[in-house]
Amino acid sequence: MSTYLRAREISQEPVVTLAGEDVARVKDIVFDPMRGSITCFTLSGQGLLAGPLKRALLWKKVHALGPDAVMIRDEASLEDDDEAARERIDAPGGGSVIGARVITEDGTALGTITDVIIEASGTPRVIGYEVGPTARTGQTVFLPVIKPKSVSGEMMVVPACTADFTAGDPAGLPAAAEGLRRRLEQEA
Amino acid sequence: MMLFSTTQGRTVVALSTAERLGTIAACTLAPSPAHISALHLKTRGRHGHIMLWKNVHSFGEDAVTVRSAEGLKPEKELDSAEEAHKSHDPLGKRVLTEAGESMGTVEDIDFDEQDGSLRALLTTEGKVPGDRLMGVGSYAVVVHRPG
Repeated sequence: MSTYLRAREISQEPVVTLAGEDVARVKDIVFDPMRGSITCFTLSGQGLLAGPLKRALLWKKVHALGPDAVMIRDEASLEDDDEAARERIDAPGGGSVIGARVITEDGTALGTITDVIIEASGTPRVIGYEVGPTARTGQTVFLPVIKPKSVSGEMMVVPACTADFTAGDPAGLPAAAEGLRRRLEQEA
Repeated sequence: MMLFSTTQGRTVVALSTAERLGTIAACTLAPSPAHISALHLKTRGRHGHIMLWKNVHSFGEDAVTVRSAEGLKPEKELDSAEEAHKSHDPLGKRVLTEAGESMGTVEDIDFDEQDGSLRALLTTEGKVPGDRLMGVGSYAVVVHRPG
């Protein structure tokens, strides 16, 4: 069974050790939009210590990403020196794609990214985006993104045929992605 | 089946001095193998005391006997990171699987009164076998995933 998580739901999730202690809260998810893989989480402190925590959690140190918590082995899994994470956060589109416009190669605007959908079974990966309504479509849709052409902080360029494979809810994304993958293979 | 809730309020007696030490208030658990690591006693005065399970002589129907009062330790002397600290009391605590899914909260504990081993956690979403316990922290009880 696949679980679909939204980036917005994951931010604010507690980071909990296998010993049951909550050590931080997720602030943002940093992922590689070109590959769809999660690189790290930025963290904020807990309770009285709330506020940005100068530590990051690299994906390879995560035990599991669940709907209610991000599990880590122990507190040592948090990076003290988040230099490695910082580099990735500063990469184009790494910090946040929410708010970026999705445009096809042939210049059709598909809408603005309002959330990132992550498939959490096995190694989590970004399987698509929730895209807010445009004047043309008038509704929120879910776009499978297998391989964007390019990404910047303000825009994501996707293959033209992406527009033909939208889904009405996150659960429809795998089928839409499969359809898109076949089409891209045919076109290649 | 012995539910921890039915033992709360039970008197704890020291065998060496025939003293009444207090009554059972709470407990803490430890994993691998899952067992009750300590009993928390309500004692006279403002602060409670803990008694490690290994000092328990017999878990009787009317009273719990321990060898002596020597094993009694004031709760305030424990560091919050220690397993027996009150912040690790599992009752009422949320349950998380190691995969980060919520499984309700702990309502009761089914344990073996002979050796203190944990048979099961009774949660708002069902029974979790004791051998699935991974840890009890101040935030959550973490368990292995079913199956």
